[in-house]
Parts: sequence; structure tokens; C-alpha cells
Amino acid sequence: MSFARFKGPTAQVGLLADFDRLVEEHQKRVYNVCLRMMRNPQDAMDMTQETFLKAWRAKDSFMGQSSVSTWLHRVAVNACLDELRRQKKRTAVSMQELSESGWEPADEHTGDFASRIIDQTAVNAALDLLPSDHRTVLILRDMEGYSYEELAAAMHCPVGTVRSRLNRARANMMKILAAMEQNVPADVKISKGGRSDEQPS
Amino acid sequence: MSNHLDDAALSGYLDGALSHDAMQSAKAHLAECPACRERMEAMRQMIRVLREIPPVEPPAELNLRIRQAIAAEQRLENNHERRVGRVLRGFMAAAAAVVIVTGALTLSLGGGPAGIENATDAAPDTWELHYDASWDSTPSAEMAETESATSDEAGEGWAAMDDTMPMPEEAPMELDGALANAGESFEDESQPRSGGQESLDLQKIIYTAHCTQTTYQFAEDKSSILTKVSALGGFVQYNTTSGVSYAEGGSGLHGEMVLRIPQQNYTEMMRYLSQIGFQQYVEESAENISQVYSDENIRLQNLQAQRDALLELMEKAEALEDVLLLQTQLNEISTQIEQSQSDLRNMDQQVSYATINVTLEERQTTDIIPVSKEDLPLGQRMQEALYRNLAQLRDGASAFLVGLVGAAPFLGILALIAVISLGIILLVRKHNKKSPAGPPPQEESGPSSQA
Repeated sequence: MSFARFKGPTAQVGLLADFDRLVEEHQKRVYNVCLRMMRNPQDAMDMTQETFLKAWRAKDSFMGQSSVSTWLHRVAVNACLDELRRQKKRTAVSMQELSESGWEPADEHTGDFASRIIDQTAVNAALDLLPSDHRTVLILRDMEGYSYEELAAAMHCPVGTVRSRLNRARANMMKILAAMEQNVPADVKISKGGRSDEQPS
Repeated sequence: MSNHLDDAALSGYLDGALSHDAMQSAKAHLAECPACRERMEAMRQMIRVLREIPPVEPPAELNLRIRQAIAAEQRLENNHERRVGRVLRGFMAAAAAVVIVTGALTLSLGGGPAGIENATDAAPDTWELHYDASWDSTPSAEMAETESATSDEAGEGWAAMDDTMPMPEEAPMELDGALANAGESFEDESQPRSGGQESLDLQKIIYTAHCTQTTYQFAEDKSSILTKVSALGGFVQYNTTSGVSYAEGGSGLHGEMVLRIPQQNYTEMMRYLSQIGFQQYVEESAENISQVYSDENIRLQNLQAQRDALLELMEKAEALEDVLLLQTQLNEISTQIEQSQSDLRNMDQQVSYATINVTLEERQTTDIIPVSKEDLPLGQRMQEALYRNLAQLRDGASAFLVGLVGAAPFLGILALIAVISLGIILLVRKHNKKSPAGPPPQEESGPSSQA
């Protein structure tokens, strides 16, 4: 979409109409990215609104952009990442609530995965229990299809860090899913550190 | 069997993100370890499930929220643009002031005493400086200059004011560029324009005047004022006459008029009024409402944009709740739009037509004092001298008679004394005639004493 023809105050109405079409076209995708990252509809709406506000402010730079969709997606992800950094404490609360409820993640090395039903409900629930940086990298990689390089750029860290974080995130997802399935306490903590992952015996 | 693969290694393996050796090692282990294969499959399934989670429909209110946020952002942008515009215009006005002051100094220093000869010559600069400086410091900067004149100097006072009051065509041109930048100003299509005045149409200035005239031809002068108003394309907003004419034994007629004159004919109307009878008082003001007008106009544009957006939303809204919410907002915005349009129309009307408040008072004929006797024609001067002398003669005779009658008692006594004196004189003369050679007194007394 080109905004080149919108010049001068009298074109404001036309500009608004075209921007409305842009919102109409992309709001669902942007909202879903935000919902996956923020994990609740209210925050997702806030971030979607923030995304389109940023788009409005940068409307002049849309000229020559081959894909508004990609641009909006990146803006949405960045807005969510910023917000999640501000909301860092929320993760701690989730983990604390989790512990208080008597649940601890199980070790994952037992070979009874065949009995587990890994469905959307379980995965969604497990996502909610992940630390936010793990969840973010998992969502961007496995749901939004980011490459390692794109992840590194979005999260402002080296590719190696992204890779190890993603591996730990997937491992933790598996632990959580296993624990949810077995519903038995385990003595393994969710690993967040770089080298603290326990090896299966 | 070697050590099992941990989940991190499995993750790396699934992404092909392990080193070459690690990949080979993991592949070899997976080939012979069913447990790790099963865990790998579980992780692969988890990833697949993650990728397949379907998108959800956003809440209906999301779209409205975004539009409202954009509208608010637009208002902020407009405010920011206006602030930048104000700074720019302020700079231009300051530059214009510097140019004018420099020009005035050059004229007064290099051009001899002309610039500082008298106050009226300096007045135009004062006015224009005031005009420039006030351009953006306050949205409704008012430029007023008041002058009152007695009947004897009314003519001169008005003439001086004519020179010191720059009408629109004399406004400083440095402002035009800055005003053109504003660009957003609402163009008043109904307002008549003259050739060189297009840029000045961006200025929204309300001209208002008050004047008091006295005349001994009340009816004629009032009629001529009303005729002139029509001729100049204006109209009479208010007109009233009260009192009884001196000719009919009253204490004089009093008229009040509110005249609305097209802005371009304002100067001519004021000049015409100055020639009616005697000008006792004049006050003129020019209020610049350009900024207020521009702000209101932008507000209207925003409101209309918001209304359009809401109308578009309304067409798509299906839920009753959404429709009701939109309808409420539409009603509110429509009311604001009407109010804004009304304000703009009112301002346009005020700008297009100057307001002149005229007070016309009848003067008693005997009050008339010629401005200067030397200015009268010879015949009239002779006639006036004759009348004056005759009147003096008449007045002198009257005074003499009054004095005469008033002095009657004293005159009576004087007359009596005169009559008595005359009688005595006559008696003495008569006695002298009877004895023309009478003896001297000593002779008369001598014989009588001897006898």
C-alpha cells in the first residue's frame, strides 16, 4: 500500500479511509501474534493497538515497502517484547503460583511419551507456564517461523544464545507436558540457566 | 547403549542445528534407542501442534479501539503541527518587526525630520509593530486605537486617524508568507475579494468602530447614512430614533444605529461618517482571530474524519451492542460538528462585515458656531456684521429704555428740582424788569433810616 498520495491536511479523510482498510486487512494476524506472545486478550488488544499506532506514525515510510504484513508483524513482535520486558514479574508470579499449587515439573527422560496426548489445549496450557523468554523464543520459532538469525535480531542477542535458549525452552515444554500428563511431582526444576540442564541417565 | 539424548540435544537435532559430529552421534543413538526416538517424536509433535494452533478472531471492539487511538493520535499530530506553525509564524513576525523597525530608523535618521516631525507620522509604525508583535502571542490579539475629538477639531482628528489606521491593504506583507504556510485556514468563498488581497483573505480580522456625530440636519443626515450603507452593500442591524426635535420645541433627536458594512468598504464608510455633521468621538478596533479560526477549522476536520470512520464502522457492525455504542458516539460527534460549523460561520460573518456603531444627535441651531469667520464668504460676513450691529443697536435701545424706566424716580426728583429752579429764575428776572433803574441798596436804606 502506498501512502504517497496523501499530502496536506485536506487528504486526511482519504488517508484515514485507506488506513482503515489496512487495519481491516491485517488486524487478525497482528492480534494473533500479540495474543500468542502476551497470553491474554486484553494485553493482546493493547499491543495490537500499539502496533497500528506505530504504523500510523510511520505511514510515510510505508512507501516502497514490499510487504506491509512483514513490517507489521515485526512491529507487533517488538511491541510485545518491550511490554513483556516491562511485565517481567508476571512470569515469576506464574511460576510461584505453579509451585504453590503443589506442582513441580517432572524429569523427562522416562520413556512413556507414547501414552501422552500432546494436543493444543495441553500445549497452550504448557506455554502459559513457561518463563517468558523461553515462551517468546518458542512462539517466534515454532509458531511464527522465525529463523535463528531473525530471532537473534528480534531478541537482541547472539544466534548461539538464541539456539541454546530455544533448546532449553523446548526441553522445558516437554517437562511441563510430561508433568501435566503424569500429574506427579518431580524433583527436577525448570532449567533457565545455560548449562544446568540435567542429563538423562 | 550410549547415554540418552537430552531434550536440548533433541531440539537441536530436530532443527538440524547441532554440529556435524553431534548430529552424526545423535543420529546413531536414535537409530538404536527407542526411548529417545519416542521422546524425539513427542517433541516433534509438540512443535507441530504449536505450528497448527489456529488463529482466533479478534474481539469486535478491537477495530473501534484502533480507530479511536488513530483519531486521538491525529489530534496530537495536528496540535504539534500547529505548535510548529506558531513558532514559525512567531519567527516570521519577529523578522517582520525587525524589518519595520530598521526601516523606520533608516527613514528617521537618513530621511531628515519627516519621520519624527510629529506624532501622527510616527503612528503608523507604532501600529504595525503592535500588529506584528501581537500576531501570535495571543490567539485573539486585539489591536485597538482610540481617538476622541471635540467639535472644533473633529475634522482634523479624523483626518489624522485616517493616516494612522492601516486598513487591510496596508497590512505588512512580510506576514503573508507565514500565513500562506498555515494553509489549513478555511477559505471563505462568500467573501468578496479584490485583486491584491488574496493572501490577506487568510487573515481573519474583525473590524469594529464606534462614533458619535452631532448635526442640526438630523433627518437628512440619518437618511443619507442609511442610503450610503445600502450603496456600499451593507445592512442596518439596528436602528432607533428617540426624542423630539428642537424645531418642535423638544430637547433634540437622538439616534442609534448598528451598521454592518462589507469589510472592503469599511474605510469608505468611516470616511463618509466623518463628514456627517460634527464628529464628537471615534473608536476603532481590529481583532485578529486567524489563529482561533484555524484551530476551530482543524477541529472540525478531525470531527468529520471521526464521523466518517464511525459511519463506516456502523455499516459493518452486526452486534446490537456495537451499533448502540457507535450510535452514541455518532450523536455526540454530530453535535460537536454542528457547533463547530456554527462557530466558524459566525466568525466568517463577523470578519466579512465590519460593525460600526453610530450615535447621531441633533444640535440646536443657536448652538452652531462657525468654525472660522475668515472662512465665510464676503457677503455672508457683511450680512453677519450688519445683523450683529442691528442686534446690538436693538439690544442697546432696549437697555436704554429699561434703564430709563428704572431710573424714573430719580429722574422725577431731578425734574422737580429743575422746575423749581426754573421758577425761581423766572421770578427773579420778572422782578428785575419792574424796576429797571432802581437805586442801589444802600441808597434805599439811607433815606428810610433818615426818615
